[in-house]
Amino acid sequence: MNRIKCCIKKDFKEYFRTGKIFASIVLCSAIFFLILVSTLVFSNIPDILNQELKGLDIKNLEELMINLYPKKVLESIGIFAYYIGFFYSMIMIVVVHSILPNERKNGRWILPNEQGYKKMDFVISKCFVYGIMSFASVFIFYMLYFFAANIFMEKNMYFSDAFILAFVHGINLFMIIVYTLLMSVWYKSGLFAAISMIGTVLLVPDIMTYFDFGKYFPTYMLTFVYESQLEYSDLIIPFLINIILIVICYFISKWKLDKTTGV
Amino acid sequence: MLKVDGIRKSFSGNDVLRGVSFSIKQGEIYGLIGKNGAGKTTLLNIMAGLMDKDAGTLKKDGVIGYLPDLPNFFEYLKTDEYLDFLLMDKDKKRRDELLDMVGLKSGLKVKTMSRGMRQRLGIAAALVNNPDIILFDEPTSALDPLGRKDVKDILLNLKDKGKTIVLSTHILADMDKICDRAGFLHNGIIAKEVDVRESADDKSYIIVGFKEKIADDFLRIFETYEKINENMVKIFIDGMSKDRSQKKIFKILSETEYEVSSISTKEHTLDDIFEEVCVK
Repeated sequence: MNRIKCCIKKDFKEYFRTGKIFASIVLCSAIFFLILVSTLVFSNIPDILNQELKGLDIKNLEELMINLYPKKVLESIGIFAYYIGFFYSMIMIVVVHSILPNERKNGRWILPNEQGYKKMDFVISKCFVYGIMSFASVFIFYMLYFFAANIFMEKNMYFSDAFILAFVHGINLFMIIVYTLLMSVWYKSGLFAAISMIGTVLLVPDIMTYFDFGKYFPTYMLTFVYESQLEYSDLIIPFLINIILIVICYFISKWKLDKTTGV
Repeated sequence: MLKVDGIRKSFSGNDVLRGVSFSIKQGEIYGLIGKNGAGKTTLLNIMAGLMDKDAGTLKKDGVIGYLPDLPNFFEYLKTDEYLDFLLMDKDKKRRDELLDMVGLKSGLKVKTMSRGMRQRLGIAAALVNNPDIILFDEPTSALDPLGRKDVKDILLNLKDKGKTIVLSTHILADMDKICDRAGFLHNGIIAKEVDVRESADDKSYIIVGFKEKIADDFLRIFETYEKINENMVKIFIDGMSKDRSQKKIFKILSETEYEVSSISTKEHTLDDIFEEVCVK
């Protein structure tokens, strides 16, 4: 346990000293302002056009803008969650997919390995630190968006719902990072992990909405938050499947690392 | 102390090690010499337990520490933090001892350190668990002369503390100065093993040029010699009593009626043996 604790301490230093915390905050802030400003500015465009160009049929345009940038908290926060799920997870996957393979390839595990550290210690610790930091970023910015949206938009969401959905989305990002890191050690390069995870996160949630069984698919947790759904019992099966898949990925990673001699 | 017996290793059908055997006594510095690709790093990795061997045995009395070629660290840590990490935050006193031993300050950022400093940190890292046997893979290869001297001093200091050291390098001048014995790894086996100090003296010689032809009768006064031409002779120095042998040769030369025109001495170095074993 002490080994994991020391690895976690080291990885937190990595996260803070190599600018990843800064990048994470900048990225979340950018998405936060992009969605908030777009919602506030672009949704007024039909009214402005109506004033400027009398007689213009703005009905279709209004519908389009309402769909793109709804001015109600519950709907708008779903859009924010979608962009976070899309851009933040994609960038984080790109960032983390090569960390463990590079550490291993560059021989950074050799000296610690001689002192008793196990290869999986590095993997577990990275999953924990990067997962927790992603969870925290997403959770905090989701709640910030909720508070900001409550000031500028029509209130139709309880704090408790926002808190739970923020938590679920944080868990989503935590699991995306964990999957990526675990799969990144399956092969010498982490490219397989990056491609698989980007494909899964970006495409599967949309594809699964066309199928009835999509509700039980692990990516439904993302869809749930994107659509700001409130039937929390729907999360149980996809969450359990995710846990089972993570356990399977963990053992595959352990097996893959154990069967290679050296570090 | 450390006995390597019949170690074999192949990669994709290519036999890199074909039965390497040697043994090292406690407190000895053993040099592992070989061309690039001879299998030195593979052998050290096997000895350190980082790689499986196909066959052979390895007997060791004590803990092994290993410093790989160009060690890599977590760049974002500082010297003390890196050693704390290796020590699992258990022994701050040991951390300070190690930093003192290799002459590094606490709190230095790894990413700003020179190669020499990194090598010293690597040595400290290899010594964390106070190993009895330490394996160094090319510890001086990427260093400038000053860095090489620092590392050599550290190694000799470790030897004084009774540590057994196995050292691989292709900079043979380093071996001459610090190793007790050396093994030449060639074609997957230890092709020759030498006592470094004796080998350096064994075939050392003096080349003497004379202004006139030299008679063989005069040359017979030397124990071993080789005539290069009518005016020049190679006189070998007795390795067992190098100083006495040299003095004797110079005394003869100063007393002889032949006039000496040139004198040069040639040490028989590990480079010569390397050429004999691994190149020819």
